[in-house]
Amino acid sequence: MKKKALWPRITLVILGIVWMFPIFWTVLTAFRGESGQFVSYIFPKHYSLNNFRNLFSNNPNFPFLLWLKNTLIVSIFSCLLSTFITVSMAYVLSRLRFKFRNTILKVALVLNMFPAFMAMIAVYYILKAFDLTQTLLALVLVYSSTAALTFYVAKGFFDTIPMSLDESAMIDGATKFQIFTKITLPMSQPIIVYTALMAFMQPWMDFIFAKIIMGDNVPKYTVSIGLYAMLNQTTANTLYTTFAAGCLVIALPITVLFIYLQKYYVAGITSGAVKG
Amino acid sequence: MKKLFILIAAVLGVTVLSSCGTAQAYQPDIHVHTKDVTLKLWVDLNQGTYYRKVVQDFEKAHPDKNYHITVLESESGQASTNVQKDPEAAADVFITPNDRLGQLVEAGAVYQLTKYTSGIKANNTPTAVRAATYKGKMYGFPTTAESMFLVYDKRKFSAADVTSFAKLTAKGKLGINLQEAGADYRETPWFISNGSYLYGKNGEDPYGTTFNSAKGVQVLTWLGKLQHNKNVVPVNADEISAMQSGKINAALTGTWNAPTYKQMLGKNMGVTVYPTADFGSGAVPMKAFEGSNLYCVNAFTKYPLDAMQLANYLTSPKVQVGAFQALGKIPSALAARRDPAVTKDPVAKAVIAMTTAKHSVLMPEIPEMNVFWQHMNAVLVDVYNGKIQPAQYQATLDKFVHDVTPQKK
Amino acid sequence: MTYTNGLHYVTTFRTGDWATKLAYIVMGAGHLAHHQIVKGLLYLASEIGFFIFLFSDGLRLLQGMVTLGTRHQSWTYDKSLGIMVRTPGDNSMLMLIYGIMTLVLIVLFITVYCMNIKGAAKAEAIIADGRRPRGILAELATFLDGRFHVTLLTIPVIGVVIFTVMPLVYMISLAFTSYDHTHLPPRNLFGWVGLANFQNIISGDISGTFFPVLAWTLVWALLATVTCFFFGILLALLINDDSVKYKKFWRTLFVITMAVPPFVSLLVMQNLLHAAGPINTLLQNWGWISQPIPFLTDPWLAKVTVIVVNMWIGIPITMLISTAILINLPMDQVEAAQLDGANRYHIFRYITFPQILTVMMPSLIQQFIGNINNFNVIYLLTGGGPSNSHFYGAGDTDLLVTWLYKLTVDSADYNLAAVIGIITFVLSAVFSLLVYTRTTAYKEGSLR
Repeated sequence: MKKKALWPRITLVILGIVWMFPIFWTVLTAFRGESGQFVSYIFPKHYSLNNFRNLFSNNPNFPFLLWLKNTLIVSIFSCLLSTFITVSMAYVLSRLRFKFRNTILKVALVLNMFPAFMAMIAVYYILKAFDLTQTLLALVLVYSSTAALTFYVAKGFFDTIPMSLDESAMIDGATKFQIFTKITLPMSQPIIVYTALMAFMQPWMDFIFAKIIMGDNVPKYTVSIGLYAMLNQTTANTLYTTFAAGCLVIALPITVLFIYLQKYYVAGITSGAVKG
Repeated sequence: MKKLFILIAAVLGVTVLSSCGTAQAYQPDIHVHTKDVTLKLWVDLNQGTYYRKVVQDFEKAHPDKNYHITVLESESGQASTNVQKDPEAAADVFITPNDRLGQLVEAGAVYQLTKYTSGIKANNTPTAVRAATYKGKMYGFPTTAESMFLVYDKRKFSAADVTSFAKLTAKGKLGINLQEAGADYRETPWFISNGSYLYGKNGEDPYGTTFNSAKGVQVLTWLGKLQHNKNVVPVNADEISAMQSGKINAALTGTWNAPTYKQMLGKNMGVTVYPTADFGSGAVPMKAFEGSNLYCVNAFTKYPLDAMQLANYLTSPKVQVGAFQALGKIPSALAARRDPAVTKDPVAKAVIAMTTAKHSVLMPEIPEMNVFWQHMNAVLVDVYNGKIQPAQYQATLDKFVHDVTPQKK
Repeated sequence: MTYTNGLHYVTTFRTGDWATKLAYIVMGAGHLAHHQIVKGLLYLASEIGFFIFLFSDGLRLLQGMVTLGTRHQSWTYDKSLGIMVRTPGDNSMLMLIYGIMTLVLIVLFITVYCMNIKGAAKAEAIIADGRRPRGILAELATFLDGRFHVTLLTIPVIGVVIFTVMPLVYMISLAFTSYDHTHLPPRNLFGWVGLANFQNIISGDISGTFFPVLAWTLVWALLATVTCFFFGILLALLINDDSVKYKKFWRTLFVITMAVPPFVSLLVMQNLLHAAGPINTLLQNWGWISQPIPFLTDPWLAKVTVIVVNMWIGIPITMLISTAILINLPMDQVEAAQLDGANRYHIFRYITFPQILTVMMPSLIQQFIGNINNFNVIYLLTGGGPSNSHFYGAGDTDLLVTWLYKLTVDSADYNLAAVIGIITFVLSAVFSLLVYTRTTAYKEGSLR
């Protein structure tokens, strides 16, 4: 028997510490009793739950629970719509053959490169023309519309499903709609979960677009706008530990979800790759 | 016969666009003398609770009117951006730091004041009045007159030590933001202390910057030497923790940090005006920028008379004293500055002493300041870090003045 | 009949019957005359609606886009009220946006118009054949079968046109206007200036900033992609090593970092690496350093820092993907090589790595492009700083996108920002199209 080397394990432990340290530190900050953005020690002098109490205290300028609810609503609906859109785009461009298929593929690829920041103000006024600014619906629409251009991973998945399945069904007289819903979709669980997971996470991470759309409507903010807003010059020092607590509150469910759905994530992102 | 959906989309699109694109009316759209008035007010972060009470008082004081006033917190520094983004959706009355006034006026986003002007002029400090004025016209109701000040640990320094920069840094460590964004805000006034002009004598001449004079080079040289002074410590957001750990014993700071210092230093907290410094032409008081927060009326408001009345009420001496007590904001109204509640506070006393011509200078308001900040900070940080050698100081300042001066048309 | 060029529309007009001819003026006439009542009415309604819009607002909006406004807002003093009263004027920015929306609508209408003619001709041909054109129900049924792609694509395409294409056209238009901090609406009007802004970027004052920032953007994108890729694979190999137990635990540990919103982890990192942050404090307390390490304030170190922090974020993703590839890798080659006496390095270099590279190429390209536009890492970590006195409004770590953001938010120079946006856009578009066509050609050659 070959003697097992020790160094891989040691390297892993060191790397593990490096990767965990920022998260560990955020947790410590969230439970830190003393306020302040910078402290000269790692472990808090005393621990307390005050930051969490502060977070959930239902302050009208600071309705964290409401923000949490908004974010949840936006992410659920944009997750549903985005998944539908991404899967539709990917399926169409992977399985169906029609005149503009190649053009659409290339145009979508190019449009994806476009730095969206420049046009935020245009998006704002387009939404205003539809009278949608400062609504959660606007966020759902904006997030979902970007989903139309992020179909590459899902397309890679559909590419791996043998065409012969479709063909035999077609001979049996199935319509394309029936093939899509009865044959392809049931086989596509990993990619659907992957797409949904990515779409679900987006509203928790965007703080710029959402702010432009929501403007001064604090009760309609998502958590990321609210948390980011805490860190300006006048409030950063007093609210930093509360900010950390807020980060913990939003990171926790996503992390659990992520760990739970990890195998789908891996299956989804590597699907086109491994089998192809 | 194709694509039914595109057809439907086209029909939908037409209806939507025709609703949004209603013809531009070149007619004033304001309501005066109406009973029902809906107003939106933007106050700074953390100020909502106090101003909600103030607004309730305002509503009570006008029983003849049906006011519906919404108070929202919105970062004052961003007010200019937020108002310009969509003036129609912005607040009718909003708070903004005075340095953004020029851009707001140039963009046509604020109301020029014709009513209340004599009251504003009579009741506020001269600098606050100048802060509310742009190119000879008045645009805002001043509510604060603030500047940075010196905070120090009384255990380390005596009152005599903190009168001059040399004595101060001989005795203990002074923290200044020298390396990060915001260094410009601290250091620029020192050029003016030493006799240079920033956009002319009154800060409104785009071609009047003289930082590349011999006196300007003196200041830059002085700043360049700071990096070798072990008792001058670059700090920024970590200022308070640095003071706590003893890394610094004094700092140039602002009112937003005052409560934390009070808590930390207690009776050992000393506050006073900036010391004097010798930049090379004899000792002069180190200046700070004086700034004033203004309540401005949105040019797009439907109820200009009511909005102005509200803004005037928000900046009355009584409300300013209350704002000092609740939020620590140093008033601009002369009557409020004489109020015992204000005068007995050492921080307020220091700031009131700072906000005089001797110790501070009004931050220019012209839109060129936006360009100025970016260039100034880069030069100051590069000089402090030794990236620019003393031999290049003159050339650096020449290029700098060229960069921040608009091209003559 | 295909309609690849406009000539066919002339032929159709010549050969068509009266109803098809009428459809050139009255949309839907062809359908109505050929027993397709619902579709015919829809076409008619869209034409009527469009022309009502065109004559009520459309022409004015289009004209507005051409002039970008002619009337300034004005203020007059009202003696009885004692205040100034504002008379609204034109707003160049809104005129541009609404003009573009009108333009998109006109393109949409032209498409519908062409569909109308093609449909009329087809219906006529079917009748001439002695058959009956499909009724509306049969027509709708095709959307679930023969034209299923239309059904699925409609919603995404509408979304993309509204939220991506229209804003894109707006941004591109801005590059040809004088919309900068001296022409801010609503008080000021801005106008079309042609290519002046491009000239300014390429040869004027701004070029001294543009080219260094462009160079750093490319270097950053390359290094950020390559480091994450390479070290991600190494990490996957490490976890997959025979000596490591609890593989699942280790994988999960690294995966957790992916679930933390980037703005949170980046802001925390910024705090950690700050001169007064815990890392510097700790090192100072241990006496390893006397001065804080300027992770984020030294031009060179800041560049290294952003790349390293980006690795913290990016490595777990590559690790996950390459783990999945490694597990699925056919072992026979490796075993054969081991029998031939190849060491681990050789197996990796000549067998494992090439396979991973092939599989991951598409995702690598996406990452590269993502990194060119990687706003978050730079903006949240260094804010583009440290500032550089030789640059116009940019710092040492600024990428084109963050610089562009600063130009709009801090200086309100929208026209310059638009030019930079276009250049960034063209850069990444050309690159990705090039690679895309090459990899698909390669894929199709080898796999199909």
